[in-house]
Amino acid sequence: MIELAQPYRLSSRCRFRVVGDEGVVVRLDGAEVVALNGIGAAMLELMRDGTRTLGDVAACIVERFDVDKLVAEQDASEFARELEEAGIVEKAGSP
Amino acid sequence: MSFRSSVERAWRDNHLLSVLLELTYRCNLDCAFCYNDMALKGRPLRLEQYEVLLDELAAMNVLTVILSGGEPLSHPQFFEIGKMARDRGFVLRIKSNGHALSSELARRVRDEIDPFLVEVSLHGATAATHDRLTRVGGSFNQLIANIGEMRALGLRVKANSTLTRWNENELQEMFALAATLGIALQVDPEVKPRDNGDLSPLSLAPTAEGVSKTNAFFKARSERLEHFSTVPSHADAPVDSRDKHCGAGASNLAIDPYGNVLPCVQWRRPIGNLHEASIRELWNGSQTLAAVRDITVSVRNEVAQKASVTGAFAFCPGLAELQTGNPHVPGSIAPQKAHVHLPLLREAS
Repeated sequence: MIELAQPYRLSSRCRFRVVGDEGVVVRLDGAEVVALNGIGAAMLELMRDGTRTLGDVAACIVERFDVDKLVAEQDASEFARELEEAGIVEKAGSP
Repeated sequence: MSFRSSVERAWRDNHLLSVLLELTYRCNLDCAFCYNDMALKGRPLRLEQYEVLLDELAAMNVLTVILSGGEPLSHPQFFEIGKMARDRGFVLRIKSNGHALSSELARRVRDEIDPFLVEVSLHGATAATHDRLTRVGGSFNQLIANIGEMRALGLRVKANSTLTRWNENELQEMFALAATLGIALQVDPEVKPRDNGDLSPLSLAPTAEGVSKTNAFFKARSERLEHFSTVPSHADAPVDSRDKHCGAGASNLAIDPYGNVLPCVQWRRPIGNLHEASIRELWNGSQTLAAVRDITVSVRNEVAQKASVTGAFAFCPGLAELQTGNPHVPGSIAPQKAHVHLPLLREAS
């Protein structure tokens, strides 16, 4: 599992906007668009500027979506791993 | 869930996704069919006003900003505006004629603005045709050289063209040239009136034979190539997902150099002015904008009925209003708009 104390930020090679209750990510280099569901969009919005750790992100998700804390942390970790592999987010320095 | 469905929802729910900024009407070419109203007067927006505008657009979650003109690079603060837009995280497109985008400027565009796409204007497959339409000798050769330089710098480039009676017989060669250059080509089959209603550019509209040949060419080509637009076409969108004919005033806006806010680049009915109100105030409170949205709903039904009788055709209520004064009454029935080009944007699986 990815360390919950790790903050992530949106890659400089991606653009992201929330459209309604979903998210749209445009990868500049691949000319590729990725659509995110509501929780995914909310997580990436929270990560975007790199000021929140994954633990912070999960805590916000617990409040907003009424999900279990452990589930939120697992989801945030898994989601961050997927986004990092896809080049959408990058580690935002030392926690 | 897909990007297409997000765009359709934005269209339906009036979520502003894309804003085209006409930064200036100055231009270094003199295209014979140009639709800009060069005589339009007003107080140009200042850099600080663009900064406020871009801040608001970012807060409104606008995805795309298009820097257009005239020739946008001829705006004295083009790079400052471009950098401000980049820093606010927009997907940036630059609509330039490409004539000035030689090595140094192209490098600055890449390094300082980092656009998603640079769109240039290709009006023929030969220097004779292109230069005849731009009315600037050497513009074809300059454009071809600039496209090569931009590609070498890693910029994504696309060419736009307007079908005219002067280039209608070169379409196949233009697509071949674009393929050789490694860029997409999009052809608009309509010459537009000028934004002030002057119909003189229509004298260059393609001939009936040219339109027919073009339609056949597009049809054959679309059967061979995948084509994809960032905005779903009326015909492609599932009927249940849309209530409007187009995204004018619903998912997109245009803003002229003097702050007039328009439903789209072809619908020149001002919904307000940025010297007098903020973009958010206009988006949420303009009665004119509400009327435009209502028109696009009613036009959708009218077009659907007509298409069932005559077959698909392009209809732009903004263009109709310009030509006849009534957004419901077309001045001419155009061939089905076929944006056939190489894919620019694809969805991740």
